Amino acid sequence: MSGLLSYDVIVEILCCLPVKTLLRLRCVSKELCSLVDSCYFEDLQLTRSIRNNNNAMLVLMYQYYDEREGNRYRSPRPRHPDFYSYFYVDCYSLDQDNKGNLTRIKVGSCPLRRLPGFDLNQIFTGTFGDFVNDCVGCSNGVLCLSTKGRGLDLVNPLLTEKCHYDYPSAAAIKTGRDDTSCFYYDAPTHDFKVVILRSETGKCKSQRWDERLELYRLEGDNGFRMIQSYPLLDFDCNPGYDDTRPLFHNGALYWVGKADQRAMKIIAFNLERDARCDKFGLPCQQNYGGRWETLGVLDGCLTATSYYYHGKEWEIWVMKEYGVQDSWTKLLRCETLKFSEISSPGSLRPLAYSKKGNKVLLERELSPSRHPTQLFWYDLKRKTVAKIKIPGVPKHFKVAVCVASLVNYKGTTTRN
Amino acid sequence: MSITTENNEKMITLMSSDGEEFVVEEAVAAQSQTIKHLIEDGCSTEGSIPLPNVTGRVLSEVIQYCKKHSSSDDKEEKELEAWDAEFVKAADDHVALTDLMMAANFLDIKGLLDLVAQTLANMITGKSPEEVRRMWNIKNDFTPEEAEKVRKENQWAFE
Repeated sequence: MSGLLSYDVIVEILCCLPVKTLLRLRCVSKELCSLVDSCYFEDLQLTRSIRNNNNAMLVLMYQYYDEREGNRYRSPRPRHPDFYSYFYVDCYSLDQDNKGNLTRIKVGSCPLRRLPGFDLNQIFTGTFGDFVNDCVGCSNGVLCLSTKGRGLDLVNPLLTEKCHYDYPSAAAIKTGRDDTSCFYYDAPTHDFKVVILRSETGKCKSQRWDERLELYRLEGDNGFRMIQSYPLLDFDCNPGYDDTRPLFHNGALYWVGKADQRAMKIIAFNLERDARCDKFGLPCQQNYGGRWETLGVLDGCLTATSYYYHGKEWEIWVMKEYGVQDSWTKLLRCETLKFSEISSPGSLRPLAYSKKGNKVLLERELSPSRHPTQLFWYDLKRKTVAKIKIPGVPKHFKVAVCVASLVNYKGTTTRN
Repeated sequence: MSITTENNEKMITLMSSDGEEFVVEEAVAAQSQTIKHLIEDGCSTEGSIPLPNVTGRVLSEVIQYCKKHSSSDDKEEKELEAWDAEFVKAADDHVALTDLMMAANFLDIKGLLDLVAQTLANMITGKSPEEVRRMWNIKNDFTPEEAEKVRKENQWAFE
């Protein structure tokens, strides 16, 4: 391939490069182009990036609202005719610690900043919080976006195309909480999977008898393929409670619920391994005006955030070893005042460690999803909080953290 | 042939492609998986181990790295990081690093390979395809039309 370097050595160097550079290198030669495009390299880039903690990416998704639609936010950006029909997906690198600022991976005129195929009229009819399109999940560099009641779009925001999947039976998946769903990319088997919490008739929360959890694989041209379906009747309590989306991580759904004799526990329902249901104790039982509210994932470990009404404080705990009660470790405890003066505390979720590991990126979402989202760096040593300012982005956005990858979302059928 | 049970003061001789000989502790040389396997196969009993792909200049750098890292267990991680940074800085030139990378790959020294790969990657980041071709001595086999097409597929990466 090269007069100077062997193939092995070039692969080693490419594994250390950001995705943007890799895409540029496709122009160098045909051989380099097909290497970057290969499934072999796609897998290798992903596993190496995860192993070396490289290429961490923050994805912000947002939209500007037209005044004619009852807009509350005015955009600072210059307007053009299509302005409001864009669904913006901005990617930021978390690899550099630039005084706590985020480095934008310049998506610029990438066509994905506008997701084609969305009809304006469709877009403005949905209302998930303030989001017309919703991000179902983000896994290994691939975003799963839903268009209300219609289907899912898989998008790697760093690549150009997208892939649309219509829901298996559009009538069965309703709007609102009924299409609560989760998404992940199962890298070892190259499967894109979604879980849908679905209800046939239940309209109010007391009617849970017919709810089901369904696990699907997204298969290129074949679309949705059901792998498993579980009735929710088997559980003491259900996910999707309180309109919070259950956490989906490593093939299992997690939610906090009253499990045994009303004690609050984390319930883990493993959809892939024999539908095993585990119950974990929370870091500590709170009897003094606290509540557990948010589950998250930080560096592959489960996290739980609690809020104390009296002290107006948050605590974030990390479960260092999966399923081991004693491994809960307190990450931080912080007064809500440090975050801002807004009286409603909202929820706090850790998203990622900084490259050096001395800071944690926190997302604060003021519930219920009608309020702005804010991002902070929390310095673990100094115990200080710094708000991250992102110019040009409206107050309301959705956020996801993942690895920047070359993962192609067309599913298993296009491999080989 | 009972080399693997010997203590780590055992010395072995490495011979570069240009005939230069280096006498190093076995524990230092064994950081190279390639050399380790050669030793295990008994290749070192007949005098020196020949390394036909590595010149004396590069081999001396590799040995310098291995020496530092073989005694690194009790050292501060930060100090070692700083040493690594100085080490690749000293190699400085892109061609010297490329030679080092090829040697690390042939000798199978993971730490060195990762270090140099990252350094070379940092040099590549931000470079144009033409600059990369020049650095790596790669021939452009795209027609202008093909090149334009590939470029258009990810136009944002060039901005």
